[in-house]
Amino acid sequence: MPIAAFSDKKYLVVMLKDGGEDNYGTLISREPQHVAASMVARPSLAFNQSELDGTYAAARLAGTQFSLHPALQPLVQIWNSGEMAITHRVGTMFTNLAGIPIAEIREATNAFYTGSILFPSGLGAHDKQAFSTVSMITRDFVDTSGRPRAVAESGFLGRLAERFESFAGGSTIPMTILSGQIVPPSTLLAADGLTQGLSIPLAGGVFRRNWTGSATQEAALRRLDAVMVEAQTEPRMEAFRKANLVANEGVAFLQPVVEGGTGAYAVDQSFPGSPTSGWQGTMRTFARAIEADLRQPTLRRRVMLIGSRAGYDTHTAQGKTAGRLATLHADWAAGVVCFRDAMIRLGVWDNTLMIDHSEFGRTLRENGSFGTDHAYARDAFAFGGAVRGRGKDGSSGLFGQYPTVLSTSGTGTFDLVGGQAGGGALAPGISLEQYWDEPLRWFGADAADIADALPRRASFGESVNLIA
Amino acid sequence: MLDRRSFIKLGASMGAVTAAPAMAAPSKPAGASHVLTPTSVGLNDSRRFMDQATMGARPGEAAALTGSFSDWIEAQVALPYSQIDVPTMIARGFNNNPDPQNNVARMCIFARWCNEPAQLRMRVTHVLSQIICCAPSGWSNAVDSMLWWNRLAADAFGNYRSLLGLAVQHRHMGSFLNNSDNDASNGKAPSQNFARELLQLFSMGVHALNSDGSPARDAAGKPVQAYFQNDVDALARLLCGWGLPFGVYMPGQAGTAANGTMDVKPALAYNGPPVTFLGRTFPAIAAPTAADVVSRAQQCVDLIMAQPTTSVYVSKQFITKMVTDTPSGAYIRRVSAVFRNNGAGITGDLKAVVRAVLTDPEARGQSKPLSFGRAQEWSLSLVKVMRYAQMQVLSDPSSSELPGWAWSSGFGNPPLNVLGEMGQAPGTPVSVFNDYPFEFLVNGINAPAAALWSAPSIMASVARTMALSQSLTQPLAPSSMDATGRWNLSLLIAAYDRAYAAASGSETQKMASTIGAMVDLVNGDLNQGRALTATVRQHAVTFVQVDCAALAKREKLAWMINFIRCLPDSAVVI
Repeated sequence: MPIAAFSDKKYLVVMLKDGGEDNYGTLISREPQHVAASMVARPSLAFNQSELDGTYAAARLAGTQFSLHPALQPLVQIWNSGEMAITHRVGTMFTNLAGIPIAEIREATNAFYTGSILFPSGLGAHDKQAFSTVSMITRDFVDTSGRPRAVAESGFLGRLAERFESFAGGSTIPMTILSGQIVPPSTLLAADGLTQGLSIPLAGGVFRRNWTGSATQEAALRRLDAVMVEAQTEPRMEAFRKANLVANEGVAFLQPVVEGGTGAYAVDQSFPGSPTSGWQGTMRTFARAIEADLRQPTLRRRVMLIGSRAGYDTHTAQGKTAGRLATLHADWAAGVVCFRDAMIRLGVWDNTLMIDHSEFGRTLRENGSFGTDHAYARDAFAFGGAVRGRGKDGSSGLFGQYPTVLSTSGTGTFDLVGGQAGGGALAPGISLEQYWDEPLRWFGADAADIADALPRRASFGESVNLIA
Repeated sequence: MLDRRSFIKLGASMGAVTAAPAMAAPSKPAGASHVLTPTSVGLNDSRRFMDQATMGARPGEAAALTGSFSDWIEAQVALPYSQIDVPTMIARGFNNNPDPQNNVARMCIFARWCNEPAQLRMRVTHVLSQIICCAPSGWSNAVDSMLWWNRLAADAFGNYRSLLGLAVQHRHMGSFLNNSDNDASNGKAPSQNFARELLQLFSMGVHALNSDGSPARDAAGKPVQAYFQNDVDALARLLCGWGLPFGVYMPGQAGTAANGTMDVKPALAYNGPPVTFLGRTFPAIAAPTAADVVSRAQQCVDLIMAQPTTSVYVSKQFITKMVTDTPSGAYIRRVSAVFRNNGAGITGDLKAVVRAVLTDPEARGQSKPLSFGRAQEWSLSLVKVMRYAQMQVLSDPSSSELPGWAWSSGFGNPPLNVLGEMGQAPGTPVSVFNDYPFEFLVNGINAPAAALWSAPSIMASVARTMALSQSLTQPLAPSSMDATGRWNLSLLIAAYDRAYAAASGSETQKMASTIGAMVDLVNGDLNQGRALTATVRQHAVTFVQVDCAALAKREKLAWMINFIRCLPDSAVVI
């Protein structure tokens, strides 16, 4: 895709909730049967009807049967502005489950890998499902003819970034910028030839090459820079060399972003307390990076920012209104709200799309340790000026099909009952290919890009229609 | 600040001022293997062996390896080593402090990596800690992490079965993956966290494997699962019944057993209908006893050990974490056969497995193909330099050499702190998936540790570690207590003096010759004898000769070591 095709700047912000977010503790149905079933299945975690309709009524999503977890209540203002969308039952699929009679699914899935339904292996394993969800190519990838194809795992965002790499304007800085834990974003970005994005510490840290100001060290760095000019024949050494180039130029670009004092960037006004950690610190760093990028209008036309935060693997002591999940929710909601304010301040909110992601959802059933276990699909969130939220083009702001009846009667991961699997796991109704197709196209992907990034796209149905 | 292109131009012009010393290096090969510096037969294989089997060799250590590698392994296995002195730590009050950052244990482990003569045990313990990953959870007691490391070190040449049993029973793991006080009694659904990772990460992986490490496929060509969700469900139930006397840790509380084992709590054990795990049905027990809890754990571990996939999975982990990211199927098959049967009918004998990994024909040889070897992780590349510089770390809080050290004394030392910034604090994996993934492609080749090469970690590696060249070679005031350790460098200084004495010509020529010889020696030792290209070698020599001209001999050598460590050549052990 030629650079001339992009006349504007766009920012794709991906928020990785590392560990598997509890969907039932994030988006909460107020339907009486759902509330009653939840109270039985997760007694220490569920909200009763009076709490949802009374105590925490401010977290209700207008025009729907749903409430947000009370700690997510700040997001309601974005919902009301029509800039937030929620898609039910997004998950890893091999073939399209939607529209297949439940009886057939149950019959097919009682025997693993038999019948017309194929499930990817590694479901419920953090890294494997992260691979299969974010990369959509795994070692057991089956092509359109049903033939197994040995393809090493790679990340669909990494593959897309490689196709867009020329948009860096000759810079070694890739269009992808990371913050947070290293491993999950690397997984997401992995692609042959693109070892990594440019990862940065959070604002408030230190990010420089000559830490001590030593003349000898400065000389050593100059010599090393000269060494790094020479391409390596050994592929891993070449990757190391490239990583050094990215790091070196990245420091020059991002050092002011990381080290600049409060007030150095207009977007700081959107982040009360100048957060330096968690989702709020990540979002502040991202907002600063975007402001810095806007000061260089001739450089990157597309920037992908990937943040992650661990802690969503809430097997124990998940907590209801206080505790691990509530803390994560509150931090995330504050980060999203502040970031939106910052983008509006910069005038690029309509050019920004924020999407959350987690390797899987969690069981409706609470375990004996007051936590929840690995499950399957989840409710996915998107924010941005271009998102088809409530009231836009007649949208309800909700996409996909939520289960009519909540139950934990299934006994295994693949024992599907009414859109749920064992333990009350949400079964996917929308494949990740369907879900991500539109955001990638909004970002500038054409048909060839989609074919590379989402090679199984054709196996599934219509897109979600998430973008206005 | 100069940008990168200005640096490059400046670097190129600086490189032109120095004449290349006498020993010219060959160009980088375009062919299938690496060009080696001329040396005695076997030296480079010995250098490679030391990189595979230790945390780093001292200068001259590889050259002194004159016997067989098997003899060296036997001698190393027999060496005594220093366990972390937990009673002393408790006496100093560490049992009263939760240590979620693992600050104290990581100091003790780092000191042992650098100091211990029993280097093979240290390396194998490092490998084990990356397969059976365990890190402090929010409420971990400070000493449990030390007890865990002590057990890994003690069993480094024992049986893998005992390590899986350790994972089931130990307080550190119980806290980390929530099996402590996990409750399956009276119909409760237990947390599946530990059960899943025991299968997926510690023993089998999600796919059944052929003996050559490839995924097993069914008649339709689709991968075969190593286990199913039903197995996870069952295992989670069968492994309930372990816990702590007080539920979860609070400051000031300690577990009952001095070796870190959890208490047996039959009241939490599963008492429901029969469940089936890996094909074996476990009968219902209405009122499980302590003996039932222990027996179930033993049976489950035995079942896991009996799976053919376990031997292949664990063997492949050992190979990739010690020798090469790209082992052949035949190499995996040979090692996994030893895992299954050490020759005496015993499965899981780690001493035999380690010997098989290190002495395999694919691991050995003077020259290796480009695809061989492994991307170097930060922990190994940094400690390798510390050991090469003969650093003796004294910041072991349990050491009698630091009698005044207390919790309030602060944590860490400069190199250890840099390692933390690089994302590889000793004994503190970032997650149960280790610090880096098991598989990670770069430029078409598997290089898992390359996932660590982020901009901040490269900054820490290049910039922060460089600074150590300065700080660790400075003399201390006579009254100072050196909690870090200095770089001794006496062996390299002696080599430097010999090279200088052998050089001839003017003083400038003698210096150029000496520094050139030292660059070749250090690069050869650190990089398995591979030659630098003429251009890169020239930069290294010029840096030391010109940019470090005003520095003392010791500092020159320290900068040289670190400069070579930062080259792409040092990123991969081949």
